[in-house]
Amino acid sequence: MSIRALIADDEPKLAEYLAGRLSELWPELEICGIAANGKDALARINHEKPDLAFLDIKMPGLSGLEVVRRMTHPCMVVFVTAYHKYAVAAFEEEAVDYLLKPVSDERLMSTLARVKNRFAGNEGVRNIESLLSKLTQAMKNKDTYVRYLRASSGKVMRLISVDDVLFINARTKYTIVVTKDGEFLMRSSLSELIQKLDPEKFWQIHRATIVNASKVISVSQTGRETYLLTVKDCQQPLAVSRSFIHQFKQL
Amino acid sequence: MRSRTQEINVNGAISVMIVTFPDVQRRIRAQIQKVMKASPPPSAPSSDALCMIAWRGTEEAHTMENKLKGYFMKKDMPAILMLCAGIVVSVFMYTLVQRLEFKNIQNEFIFNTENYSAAVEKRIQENLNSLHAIEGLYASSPMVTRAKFHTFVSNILPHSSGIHALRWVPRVAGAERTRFETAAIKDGYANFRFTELTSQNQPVTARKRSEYFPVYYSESSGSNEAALGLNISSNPVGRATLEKARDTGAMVLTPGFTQFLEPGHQFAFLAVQPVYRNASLHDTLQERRKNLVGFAVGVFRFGDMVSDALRGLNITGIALSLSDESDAPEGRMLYSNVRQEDSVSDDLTFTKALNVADRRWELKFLASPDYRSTHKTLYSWIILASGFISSFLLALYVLKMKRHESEMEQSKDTMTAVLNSINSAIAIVDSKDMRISAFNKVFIQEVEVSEHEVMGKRCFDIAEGKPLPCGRICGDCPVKLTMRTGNQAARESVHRSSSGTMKYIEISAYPVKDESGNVLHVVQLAQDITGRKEAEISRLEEQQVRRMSAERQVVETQLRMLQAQIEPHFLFNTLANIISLIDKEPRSARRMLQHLTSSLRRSLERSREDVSTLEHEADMLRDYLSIFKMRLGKRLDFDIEIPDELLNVPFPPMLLQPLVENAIKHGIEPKVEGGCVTIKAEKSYDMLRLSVSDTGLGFSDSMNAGGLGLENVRSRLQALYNVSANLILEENIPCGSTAIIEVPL
Repeated sequence: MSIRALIADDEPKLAEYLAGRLSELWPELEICGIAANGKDALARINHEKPDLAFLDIKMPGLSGLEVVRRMTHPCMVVFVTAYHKYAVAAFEEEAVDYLLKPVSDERLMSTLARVKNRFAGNEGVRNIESLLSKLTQAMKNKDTYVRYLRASSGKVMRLISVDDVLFINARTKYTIVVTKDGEFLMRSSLSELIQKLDPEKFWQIHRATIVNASKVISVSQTGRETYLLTVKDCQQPLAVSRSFIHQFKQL
Repeated sequence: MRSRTQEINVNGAISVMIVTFPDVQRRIRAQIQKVMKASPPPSAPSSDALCMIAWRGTEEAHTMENKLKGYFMKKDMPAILMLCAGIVVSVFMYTLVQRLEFKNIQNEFIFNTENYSAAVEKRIQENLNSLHAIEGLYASSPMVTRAKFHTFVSNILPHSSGIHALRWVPRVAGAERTRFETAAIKDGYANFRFTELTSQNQPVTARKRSEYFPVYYSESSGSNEAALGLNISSNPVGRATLEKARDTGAMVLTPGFTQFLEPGHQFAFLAVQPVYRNASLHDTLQERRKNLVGFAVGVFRFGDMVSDALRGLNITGIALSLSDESDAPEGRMLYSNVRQEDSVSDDLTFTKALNVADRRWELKFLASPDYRSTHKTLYSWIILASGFISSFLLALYVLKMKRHESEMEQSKDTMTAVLNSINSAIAIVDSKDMRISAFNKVFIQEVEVSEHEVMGKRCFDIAEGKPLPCGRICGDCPVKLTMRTGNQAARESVHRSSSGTMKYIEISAYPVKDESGNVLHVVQLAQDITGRKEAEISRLEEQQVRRMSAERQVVETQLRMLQAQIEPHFLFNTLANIISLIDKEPRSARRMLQHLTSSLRRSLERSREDVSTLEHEADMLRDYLSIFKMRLGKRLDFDIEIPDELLNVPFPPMLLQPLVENAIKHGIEPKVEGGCVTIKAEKSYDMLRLSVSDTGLGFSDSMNAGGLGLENVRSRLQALYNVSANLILEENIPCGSTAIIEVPL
């Protein structure tokens, strides 16, 4: 029984090229299909049940990694990628097969040799889980806080850089983001936002107000318990309520 | 007087002296002079205003000098008036006392002289009574012999030295002349005869008359026998006197005369007392003429009489005179011991009218200057002197008070002037109750309340709701700090006036201590340091801008280099594509390679250039997109629309590249169906507006991942255009997203 392989790449020329090279280097290998995106690849793997899958990591629909995670049919996977060195390092560490674009015949041959070896030794997918977790971690954005806020001005939705935000004010039904260019509406509530924003940069000064600390010019005391905040590019001073004064007393 | 001064060094440029117990002018002047000497023109820019104060202070000192001169005249008037009034009152008191004293002396004089005159009157009366005694003698005994008369009179004479002689002048009818002469001769007076005086006052034998009134018996203190036998009626005056006495039946006195020029040339007078026949009636004139027996005649000497009367009485300094008012004016003066100089003072006189027999005499007492001087006291002089001294002292006191008062006022004025001349808000706060005891105009302006609302108020009371930097909870209030520690304290604070303007205020507090070091007052000085602060801030900002622009330059270059770098992923994917095409589609492979080459060359060129043009940028993007178009096949379409007139517009190199990359990477590539990328350039007013739209996946949370490219664009825009450029990210309609760059043309 011949070994069946699936190729998935969103760039058709590359997929064709890889198929051509495989048939030349490993004529016994049966190419059972070429998928143009991640969803297609997953469906074909689950349906055609190939023994081997050459998966591009970056694909529309689903990434190669996601395809591996979701596939129900266990098959040997060779990642094909032009991806950065971290991902490559992860592959090497686990000593699992990978191909770097553009794929050279020598590299492809050694991979194929390894694959054949695996098939002979029946080593299967033993390290695939740890590999996946490492890859996912490496791909994950290090920024855990949002850098852009989706807010609308009229019918137009905008992405507003958090650095442009002066302050955010909660109204009864919506939230307003104020920049030097104007006010924008947001759907999410202030309590949701405060979770997503960097507490080093954004301070809550009032039940309904979050201010961008880097835009604060001065704090003045006007009464016994009343502090007013002056914000850059903003005429209206902001009131600081009693329970949030402590942040300024340290200054 | 206790005084306390507190010197406050304000930036070392001027000393403001706070006098809590306003001392004296000279201190303030000295202080200002000291300040002028001690403080060289300050060089620190912040001291400009204070330097001006120092000069103002000198001016103040000069005008103060002038003020003092005019002031001296005006303000000292009360003292001068007081002195004048004191002198007038003293003189008045002096004259009053003198007058009272004179009155006293006069009263005493009158009292004394009344006594004297009474004594004199009494003596005269006594002397004249001797004639009544003789009348009584004749009335009691029918026959009075010469011996008997002698015996009788001898009892009287020694007791009154004023009586010169007492005589019996009988009425002798012409027929009886011889009998009387004989009897007298028989009595021992051999030469006795009735005589009369010639016109030369020579006694001659009396002519024969019907009736004689000779001096028959005569007893005198001296010897005047010559008078014996002298017919008194032969003399017209004597006759008139006798006849008057006979007719009236009462004693009659002759005017004063100096007939007997005896010791002291005294005036003398005769008193004539008619003696009627024993037990006969002499009520009518006829009866008196018929029954007349003779006359008792007394010769009296005024001088002796008066001195006899006043014997034993102290009449030192008093002169007296006796005059006969019923006589002719030239013969009036009877007696006088008044000296020429005594008559000068005629304010101390006493005149007493004496009715002696038928005569009216006047007794006049005169005090000599000696009398006055011996009776005078020093009271009036003492009063005058003490009045002068006390009014002088009083005037001096008033002067001093006025001076002090004016000095206090002056020092207060100076204080106010000095305080007001300082262009910072100053308030002096009492340390006990935190109440404001003084302040200047600037303070009022700063606090924006009226004066009466400030005086005596606590500082936080007036600060409540006012644009003051202090409130009840100001823990770091420098005034409180100074009160607690006794040291100077200062604090900077920002506050907003009611008009909304920001101010930087430096509040400094200076302690005013008493001798034992307790803080009495705190001088609170609020200086508006907005100018200084703003200059500082703008200087810092300028520095920062300069530093930033330098940094920006570096950053921009770095970012440009970064963006110009061909992404390895892109490069290798493209190369992989070329390799895959070489065998089957060598033309496509060549075209792709050409695009890649062109793209690489442009990247290299751009990384060395500062400015490119839109056309060049568009060409490069076209190469880039063409490569993707070939790689992705039908999944990608692209369109670049740049009006011809904008082609040559200069544009930063590689600025659009990240936006296009994002559109591919996050918009088209992840989307299964792919999409279209449209690049547009348009002019909007004076801005160039470039948009990169895609119909890809659009905004998602994964946008965070692609943020790095956008961040770079943002940073470059900031570095190149500062705030005048915009990067806007919008949701594209119906799908995908649009990135817009707006830069000034």
